[in-house]
Amino acid sequence: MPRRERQTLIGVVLAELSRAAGDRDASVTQVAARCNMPYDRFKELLEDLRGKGLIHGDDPFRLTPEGRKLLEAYRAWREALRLFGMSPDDADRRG
Amino acid sequence: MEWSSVAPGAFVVLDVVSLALAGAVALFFWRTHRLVPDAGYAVLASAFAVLGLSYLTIGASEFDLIDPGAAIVDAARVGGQFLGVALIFLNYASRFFNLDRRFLTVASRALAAVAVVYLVIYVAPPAFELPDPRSYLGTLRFLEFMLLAAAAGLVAVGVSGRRFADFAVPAAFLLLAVSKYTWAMIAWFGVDDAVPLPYLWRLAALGILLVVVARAGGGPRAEA
Repeated sequence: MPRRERQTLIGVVLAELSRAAGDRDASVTQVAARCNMPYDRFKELLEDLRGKGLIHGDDPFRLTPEGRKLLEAYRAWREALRLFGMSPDDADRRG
Repeated sequence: MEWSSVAPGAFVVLDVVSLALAGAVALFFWRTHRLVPDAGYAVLASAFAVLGLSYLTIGASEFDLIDPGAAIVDAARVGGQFLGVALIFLNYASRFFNLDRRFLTVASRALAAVAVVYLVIYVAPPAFELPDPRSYLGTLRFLEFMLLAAAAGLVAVGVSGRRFADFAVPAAFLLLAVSKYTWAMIAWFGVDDAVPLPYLWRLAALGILLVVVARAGGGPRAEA
């Protein structure tokens, strides 16, 4: 996986997991779909995030303090880039 | 007022402060480029680094602080500032027109190569006589004013802002553009009294950009 995709992907996944934490009916399959990722790849990424201590081992929807910190940093970084008119989503689309 | 006789050193201090501010913006885009290797981030990092470094030559050139006969200081001032501004415009224009990122890479490298050749001929002059960089300073500053104003417009379109604060970066680019316009007027009409004004516009612009990048903090870690 190229690093560009990985960085934006981790932010997107953490944001979706954080959002799903407040939803009782949310499932891993639904969050994977919201992240536009194949289920297998999403599960692999969850394991990776768990290994890095960014999400809890028993509940993937619960971010650890470290995970929340990374999510906040990711959001602040994206916001700064948006203000510069340099959103990473546009960079992805240009290929 | 003859600013050159009052406090040329103060302007050099402001140039060093400008280098630090522009350097912080360059660092932000360099770190972003490490996370997302898009050519646009590398070009903006280079643009702000070049702008920052060439700020160091502005006070020295304006007040002849190093060596009145040294055209290289004037050439570094003229060429460095123009290259930095041209790279900023090139980045936003290529983004706006959705051009292939290879175009941006090739065009920005070509611009940088031209700037290097320009500096080299002032370091090692050829057989023919070179024009004094100050003789075309006003024209280039006016061109930079137009490029930065256009870049401000392109950023404003790109952010699709909803709040007043969303237009911080276009406002900063406009302030930088006004500083270029003021330098052009100073160069054309010799209004030395106005020298503090472009410094004011420049520092205000870089201050706004610093606030924007400071909000991003350290950003997400590259190793995550």
